[in-house]
Order: sequence, then structure tokens, then C-alpha cells
Amino acid sequence: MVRNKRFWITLFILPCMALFAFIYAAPIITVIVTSFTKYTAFETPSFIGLSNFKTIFSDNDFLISIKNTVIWVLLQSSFHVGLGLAVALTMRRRPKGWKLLRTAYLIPNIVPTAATGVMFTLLFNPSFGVVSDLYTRLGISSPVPNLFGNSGYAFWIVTATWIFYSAFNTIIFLSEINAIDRQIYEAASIDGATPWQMDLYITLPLLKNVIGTCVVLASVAMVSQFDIIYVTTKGGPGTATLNLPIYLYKTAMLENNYGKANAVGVIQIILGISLVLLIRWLFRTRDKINGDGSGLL
Amino acid sequence: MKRITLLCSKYFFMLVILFLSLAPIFWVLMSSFKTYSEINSSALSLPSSLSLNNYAAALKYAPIQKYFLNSIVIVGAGIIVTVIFVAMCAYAVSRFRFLFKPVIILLIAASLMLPAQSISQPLFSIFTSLRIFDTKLGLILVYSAMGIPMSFFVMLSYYRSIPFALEESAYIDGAGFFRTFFSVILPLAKPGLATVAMIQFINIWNEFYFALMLTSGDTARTIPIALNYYMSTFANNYSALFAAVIMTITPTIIFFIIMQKQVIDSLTSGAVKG
Repeated sequence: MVRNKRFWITLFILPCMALFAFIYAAPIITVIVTSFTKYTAFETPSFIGLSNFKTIFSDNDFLISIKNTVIWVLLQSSFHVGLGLAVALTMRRRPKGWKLLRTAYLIPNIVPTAATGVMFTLLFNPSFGVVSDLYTRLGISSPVPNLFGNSGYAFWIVTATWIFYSAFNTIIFLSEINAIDRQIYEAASIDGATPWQMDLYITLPLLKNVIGTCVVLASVAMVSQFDIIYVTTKGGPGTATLNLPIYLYKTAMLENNYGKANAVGVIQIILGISLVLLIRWLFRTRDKINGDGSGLL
Repeated sequence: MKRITLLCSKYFFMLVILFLSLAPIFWVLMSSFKTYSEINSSALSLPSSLSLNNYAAALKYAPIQKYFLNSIVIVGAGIIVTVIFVAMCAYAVSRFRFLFKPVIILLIAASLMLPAQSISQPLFSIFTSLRIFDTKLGLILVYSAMGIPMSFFVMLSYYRSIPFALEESAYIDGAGFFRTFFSVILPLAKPGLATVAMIQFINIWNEFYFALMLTSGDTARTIPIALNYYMSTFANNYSALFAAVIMTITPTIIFFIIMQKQVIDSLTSGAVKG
């Protein structure tokens, strides 16, 4: 019986772990090892120590890509999560039309991000987009700006394509708010608390944990944000919208410099993990990370 | 008076959110019915007629049906593989003690935090040398694996909510390991499996980076990559581009509206349990 059981356990775990090892474990080891080598599409890896890291840290484009990534993480974990929370608090008392709003708000989060990128490119096209029409209607005679192609605007226009669409956070907040005991609100309202005070002193403190979760998810998403930037600006014009994933993609696929790309990958992994740990620490509560990894995200 | 101002500002905020969510899609939909010259003359005017010419043109130049078929095959297989593998693995981990159990949990937990692009170059090289670059199989493998971490923890917490007593009585009745799993546990775990399938669907239906990196032609091109290529396919015929975008996103939106409850449930349980 015991031997039989061991056989079944192995059989149940093996397929999953084999796939996991093939797609995750082997590539991660390769990334870390080859980041210390000279390795391109045309030559096999040869050890060169920290040279790749020295190269990227003396490359201004790389430093800009880190800077943009960090700005996007900060914006996403403050404004984006905050907006999702504001919408959830607005819907908390179920005003008329809240279900319709919830569905409508989720739609831009559900369509492929590449589609969002294409739609915004069309929307802000300088010759047939809405900006040129508005200029005509308002009688502005100055040339219509190419919002995605102008280094002064591009960063903010790219940010605008995702920062408002926070419905996933709203959904998570709403479900947590629904789990709060109604009696707390009843007691507060007997004590004469205004709705605003109830949100500030009851809802928000009870949401601390889940706000932390949403900030982690938003930050991790920004460390690997790629789709919309690639579709709309490819990191340009110049380096206006360059971030780590775009820099990594260009290094691997256009420069074909695999060693350097994997050094960027190592930095991306370190940045991602330190952000998660930092945010977890900022939002720390008494409960520890459990053995099954469930307090981790 | 103060209450009315508060109520007005609340509805104003709701209207702004509604506008931001739907206006871009509505504008693309409206433009998809316009003729080329109408689009050029004014962006905010309504189309003169509901002509479907742009849709016909879009279907002529881009094999949209093929992209859909690719996406359905790849996403469908990705969901099935993840659900089966994770259902088995998380069951063994949740119920039994064995030597490498803590290592397995730690590895999968660590990969939850991994930015996936960082491992893309080795995958590209491995896939090229195994000749599964630009194949559906390649993307199915990547997507199935990418689904493991989140699904694993959702299933682990789901299995833990199923009492052990059920299995004990199954064993006493003489059922073996597999029989107990298949006929006792699996039927009870169905809601968990549905959640995993839905999370996996949402994540990989829209996946862009690996689809871009690991495909080069039409054989395995999925919907998100097709959308990117429309920009060059329809560079000189953007009236058809509007129609192509609408045709590509409409099935997703309809699917979402029908499955809304399940989508919302899985998003919340994915975040809270994962």
C-alpha cells in the first residue's frame, strides 16, 4: 500500500513539475548563467564576468528605461489603484446604475491590450483622429500635434491608455467591502457618522490588506508592461516611453545580444522581487507568509 | 443642499468613468461604418449610412477567422493542460507529505513574482532548436506553464477546504488512490477548477509578448498579435482597420458579458487566494 501510494504521488506531481522545469526552471538558470557571458545569436556563450552589467549600467537608454519603469510603477500603484478604490467606494452603497457601470468599466480591461493600443493610436492620429477634429471645431489653427509621436506628450498619452482602466481592482475591493460586517456600519450610523467618515474610518482601515495586494499586482504588472507600448510607440520617440521590457526585447531580438539581454532580465527579476517585498513590508500586518506561499501576493 | 451636491458629484464621477470606458470603443465602432472620405473629413461626425463595406474589405485582406481559430485552439489546449496538471499536482501536495514538498511550494511561489519577459530569450533559443518556434504547440507549452503558479495556489486552498473525512471513508470502502481522486475529490473541486480555467482564459486570450516573440507567420498567430499586424496590413486602408478591430474585439466582449458573473468570481478568488 505504501509503495503504491508513493507511485501515485510521483505520477500526479511529475507532469506539472516537468512542464514547470522546462518552461521556468531551465530558462531561469540559463538567464542567470549567461548574463555573465558574451553570448549572441551567432556565438556560443563565453564567460566575461560582470561586463554585461557594466555595459548596461553605463548605457543611458537603460537608465532611462529603469526610470520610466519606476515612474510607471509609482503612478500605477498610487493613482491607478486609488481610482479603482474610489470607484468601488462610489459603488459601495449601490447607487442606481452601479451594475451597468461595473460591466462598462470592465470592458476595456477585458479586450486585448493590443486592441486598446490600436484604438488609441487611431483615436489620437494627427490627420483623422479626434484631436484634429476638435482643433477644427474650436477654430485652433496651429498644427495638430502627433500625440504618440511627440516626445513631450508620448509618455503621458501612453500612460493614459491604461491608467484609468482599474476595474480589476474595483472588483477585488467591492468583494472585500461586501465581506465587511454590516453591523459595524449600523453602529457607526447610530453614533451619527457621515458616509464619508464611515469610508475613512471603517472601510479603508479594513481594506489595508487587500489594498496591499492590489498595489503588488499593479506594480508587478508595470515591471512587465509591454503590449500597449509596443503597439503604440515601441518605446519612442527616442527614449520617451522606453521601459525595461521594451529595452530587453530590443536587446534580444534586434541587437541579438543574448548575454546583455539576460543581464537586463536579471535586473528585471531583482526589481520585480524587491518591489513585492518592499510593498509587502509597507503594508505589513501581523499575519506571516504561510508555508503554502499564500500571504506572498 | 449639501446632500444634493454630494449626489450630483457622485453621478458626475460615475458618468466620467462610463465615458472613459466606452467612448474609445464607441468611436471605433462608429468610424467602422464610415467611408474613407468621411473618416478623413471629420472624426466626430456620425456615419452617413450603416455600410458594411469596411467589414467586407477587412475580411478580404486579413484572415480574421484563422486568427480566431488559432487563438481558440491555443487557449483551449492551454486551459485543458493547466487544469489537468494542476488538479493532480495540487491534490498530491495538499494531501500528502513527501520529500520535496516544501521545495515544490517554494519554487512555484517564487515564480509568481517572476516578470515573464526575463526568461524569454532562453525560451526563444530552446524553441528554435527544438523546432517548435512558430508552432501552436510552442505557445500551448508556454501558456500552460505560465498558468501553473496562480492556478496551483487557487487549487491548493480549494482542496484544503474539502474535509479529509470524505477520502478516509472512500479508502475504507476499498477505493484506491486514483479512484478516490477521480470519483470523490474531483467532482467536489469543480468550482475551483472552473475558477482556474477562467483565470487562465483571461490571461492567455490577451497574451501578447510570448505570442510576438515565439511566432513569425500566420500558422500560430493569435488575436492580439493579429491586431498588431493590422497596423501594417491596413496602413493605407484604415477605414477597414476600424472594421477589423471591431470584429476582433466583439466576440471577446460578448463572451465577457455572458460569463460576467464567473469572470468576476474568478478575478476575486484569484487575487485573494493566489
